Amino acid sequence: MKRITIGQFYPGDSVIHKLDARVKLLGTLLFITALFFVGNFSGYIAGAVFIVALVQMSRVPFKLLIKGLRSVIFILLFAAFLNIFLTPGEDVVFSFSFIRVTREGLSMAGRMATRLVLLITGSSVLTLTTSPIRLTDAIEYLLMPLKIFKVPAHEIAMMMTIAMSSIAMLMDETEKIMKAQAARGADFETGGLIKKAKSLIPVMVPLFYSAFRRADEMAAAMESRCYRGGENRTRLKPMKMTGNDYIAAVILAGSVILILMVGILI
Amino acid sequence: MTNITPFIETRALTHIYNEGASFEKTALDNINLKIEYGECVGIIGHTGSGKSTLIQHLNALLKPTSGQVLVDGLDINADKKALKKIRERIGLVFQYPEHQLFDLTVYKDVSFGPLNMGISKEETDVRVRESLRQVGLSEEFYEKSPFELSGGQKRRAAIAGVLAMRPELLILDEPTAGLDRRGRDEILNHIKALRDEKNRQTIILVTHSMEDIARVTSRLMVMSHGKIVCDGVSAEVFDRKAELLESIGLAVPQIAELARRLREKGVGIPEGVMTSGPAAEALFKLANEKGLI
Repeated sequence: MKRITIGQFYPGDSVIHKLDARVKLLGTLLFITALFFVGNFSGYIAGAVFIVALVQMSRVPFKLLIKGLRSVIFILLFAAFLNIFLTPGEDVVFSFSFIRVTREGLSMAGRMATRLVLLITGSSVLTLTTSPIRLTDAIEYLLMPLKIFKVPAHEIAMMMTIAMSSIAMLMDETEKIMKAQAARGADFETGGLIKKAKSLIPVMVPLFYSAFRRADEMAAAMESRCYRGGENRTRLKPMKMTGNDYIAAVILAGSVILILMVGILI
Repeated sequence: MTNITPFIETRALTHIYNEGASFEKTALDNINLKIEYGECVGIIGHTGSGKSTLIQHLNALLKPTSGQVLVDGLDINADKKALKKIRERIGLVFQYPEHQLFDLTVYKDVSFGPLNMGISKEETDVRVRESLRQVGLSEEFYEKSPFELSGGQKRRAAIAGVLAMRPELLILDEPTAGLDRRGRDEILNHIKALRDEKNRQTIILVTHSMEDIARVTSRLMVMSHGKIVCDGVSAEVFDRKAELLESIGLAVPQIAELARRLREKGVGIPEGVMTSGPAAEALFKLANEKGLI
């Protein structure tokens, strides 16, 4: 349970932590978009250098990023395998009956995997250094223009905040329930697939029960405080761009452009 | 005494949450304790003092960062295959019954533990009936859904679920927290009955309520910041260590405190009076002796 580090927040007070969440969010989006235009390895190296620099500045242990990667290793391998076998090409490296591995396929798989790694670590830097509340505030802000099209930006952001805070709570709860059942001799580890699935019933029932109960309580608590979303709500922590934030925004944009230039031109 | 292996022993038991991270927290700091068969031990301390962490080590739900937990002299973390056996011998009931009640009926839920142990249907039936009787849930509850029960009844059903495994040591984590007076009295009376019954159940009661301790346990361990700061006979701890307890923000039970203050003023109430019954008796006796009534 504890191994899931994607979306986890690592509290700290580094420059990156203090940076305005909107700048970080936009920067990450820019970086991810840029990755899709970069097609050569020098571009990826530039991207990697960029991420390493950010992580250094944020003082988040590298271990956490690696752990985050570990939990998506299957997706990575799957994407790489698909590319190895399904990319058409001339230069056959290896073939066995209908399977053909081409140089193009291998290079495609390599690029795809690197791109995914950079993408995941890049977004991890964002979530590791930004508290979920700040992050959803930033998302709400960036969704604001869509209000013209009647997109309920605030409601979406609120739902995301609640969902994110529930993840931590549910994981916590799952752990406690598993312990309570393990204390009664429940075994979650041995046995075949069906037995394992069955062994989860004593965990799922209490988990759903408490999730629904909590949702009910939360709704009641929000209503009794006259929550009504949207218009005219002020924030506990107003988002304010400072001089540092503007400078950081320029640096971030500059670095992404640099990565793009390296990736496309060199 | 020294050459007999104690039932439960911890040696330099230390547990650190999130070791290595900037927010690492030492929850247990070099705990050494011994518990013998038949003892009824209260563990008291504030939220975050490490008591829940400690008891989860006793049935190997948590692994020590360093140090050992021994049951009958054997390290319980040495052999992974023996874990199941250990959890059968050391029964742990968590604070919230909502975390363990899941089956369609109370009867089925209580039989979950024994069936996991691989016990026959017949024997399970005997145990389920016995343990439900021990916690005072009569046959009319057997076919009820555990989710229909009241808070106190849920708690008792959860305790029965662990009792049915016939553990040698029963650990109860905050069994009375959040219950009203009546629910609390019922639980405590049943716990007391478990002690007094012929088998003399070994019990660890974790709580932050001094009154619970005063009513049920004979030995008291006080925890603060991951350490055991005090360990002794409950009555003596209340009488002699009142200041220590207060300094870590734990109040002595009201009656024990009253008795202590009266003693200081020269009223001859014997030491070890902690609950209202004996206190009333002692006062009555004193009044009689002095010819006040």
